[in-house]
Amino acid sequence: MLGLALVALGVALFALFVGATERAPGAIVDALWGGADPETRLVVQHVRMPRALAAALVGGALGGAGAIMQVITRNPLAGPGIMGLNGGSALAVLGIMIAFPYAGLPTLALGSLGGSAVAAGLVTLVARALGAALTPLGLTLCGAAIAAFFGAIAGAIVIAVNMQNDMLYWTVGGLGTLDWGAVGFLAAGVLPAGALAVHLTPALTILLLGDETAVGLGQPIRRVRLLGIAVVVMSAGLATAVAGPVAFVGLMAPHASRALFGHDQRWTVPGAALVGAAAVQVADIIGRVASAPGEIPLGVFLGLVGAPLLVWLVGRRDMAKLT
Amino acid sequence: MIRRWSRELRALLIVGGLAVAAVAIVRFVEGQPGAARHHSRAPDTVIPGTGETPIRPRPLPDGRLEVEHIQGISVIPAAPRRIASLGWNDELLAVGVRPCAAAGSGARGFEPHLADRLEGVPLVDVTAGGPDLEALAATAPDLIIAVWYWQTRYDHLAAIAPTVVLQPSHWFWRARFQDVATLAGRAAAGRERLAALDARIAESRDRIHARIGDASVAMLRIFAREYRLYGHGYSGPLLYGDLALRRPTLVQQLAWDRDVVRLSLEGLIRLDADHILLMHEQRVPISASEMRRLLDHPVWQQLPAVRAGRVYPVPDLLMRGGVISREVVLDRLDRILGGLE
Repeated sequence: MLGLALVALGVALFALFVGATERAPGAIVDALWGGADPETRLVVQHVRMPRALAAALVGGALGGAGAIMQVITRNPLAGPGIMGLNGGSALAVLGIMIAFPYAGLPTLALGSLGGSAVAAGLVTLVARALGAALTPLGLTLCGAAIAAFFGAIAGAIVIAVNMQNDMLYWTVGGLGTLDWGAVGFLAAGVLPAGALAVHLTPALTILLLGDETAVGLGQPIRRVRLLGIAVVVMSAGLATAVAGPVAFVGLMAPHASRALFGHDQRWTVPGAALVGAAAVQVADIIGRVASAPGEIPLGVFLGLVGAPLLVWLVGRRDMAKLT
Repeated sequence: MIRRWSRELRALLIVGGLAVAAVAIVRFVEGQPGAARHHSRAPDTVIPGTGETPIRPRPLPDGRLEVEHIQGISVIPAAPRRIASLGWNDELLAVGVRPCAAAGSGARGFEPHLADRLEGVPLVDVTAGGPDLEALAATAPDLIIAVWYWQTRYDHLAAIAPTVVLQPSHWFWRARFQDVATLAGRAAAGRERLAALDARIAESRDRIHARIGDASVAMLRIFAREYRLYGHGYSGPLLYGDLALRRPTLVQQLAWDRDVVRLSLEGLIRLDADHILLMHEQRVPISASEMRRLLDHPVWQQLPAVRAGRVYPVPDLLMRGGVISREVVLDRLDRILGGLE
């Protein structure tokens, strides 16, 4: 775990030293403390630092949220999107764009967060109303239904109001233009969610033994699931709201973490957050170095970095131990 | 132990295979003809109606014309009366032809700078994945001139009326304009119109050079969270070719051989232009807030053009092709850079 944390920290620090323009390493270190020439200071303090932090927060949020989601739904293919979060968020963003055409990023991000929360709430309510309660299968199926439903409404609105361009604006993700304001915004949601997640991990481990065993061991399984969903909405919802849809991390990071740490969620959830943070950071570094001083969107390299990593980790362990 | 190693080996082989496949696929796609959909200065194609190669209609004994184009050979009327325009509205209007149907957006109508002239013309919505074939057929055209985007619908279009497909080109837009004029039976009018435009360009060039001298001009567009710097794309050939404005170093280094490059915020630091033409989507409100965010950023604030107060917001018109839109762009550039304000 310590090693993984060092890797995540290492790539984050490395991110400060590479970028679209070449800078002497010494100047970068000076710039961190307010020295160096004004341009290097500008680059390090206002471009690379917020970006590296945003990458770590976004990756960590998605990785951790994915791990929690896979435990709650006991579904190895679950990601943060499975609770209808993306559909709810897209619908809310559309609504805001129509009602307040000149809304800025914070309004849209908060709205997107609200939309995710409503979608997740609706999924749990529907699951309960059907008597499926909060069982893994009930949540997964209701989540898929609500996601499709919200997606369809959003699609219908986009076509009716002809907002394809606006939605394209929203869904072109990336960390390229995030400033300190966006980082503060992310941190304000993701860090408390992370603390809550760590608090939940022992209960999540017990949940893995099956609902009956967990109840027998005195676990308030419904409360654990609800809190877990709240963590997912807060972290993954906010990350998506700020950086746009960042695919694959939420699915890949938990499996990578499980291959390293096994099933004890006290290790797996933070591990997944660190893997996510490192993977997004590496993908972002490649994206901005590969065609510097141009830029290649984050999602392109996440798949290129993540897929081989996942294949390699799966190859290292018995498949049976992964699920 | 041996099984374990062989599993790791297989995993590594798969990883390596994936990496090789990724590179190979991207390389392969880059080399395909569709990758140069729009333009490029040196097309390796000699198909009429693409790149700099004009169409060459041949008369048939029955008085009609035979035209070879990207999708094959079409037989068209020598003097078409009802032309449907799928992407060539500007060009047709410029030679005085009012189309019997014209491509547009179902929700947003025709291009703003052409809307007046197209009043009353039936609109064919092309925003739902292709032209609305029913609306098009209802106008009973005797010739359809289409852009290459909709070549997959060629068979349907050709079933409605003889169809000629032309490839838009930012660089060889004159050849394409003349193609449209020829197809409409107005070749002479097309040549006249081009000569008039060239005179107009020369006038603007002298005016602008007299005012800004050898100063460099960049064309930057804010699209979502991307900064796009244009080289050959869109009005690049007009700006850097016809008007002979100086290219900033960054444009010269990165964008000149391509239509456009996406810049990172950090890459923007090196934008050494003396003047910046800043485009943003007027019709997408969210771009306004994104633009505000960029304009407040310290990286933007330190650019030489920004410090000198030489940033000019321009409408997204710089994005369009055609003769009429070029005249509108020239008017605007005359005011911004030529001092006619």
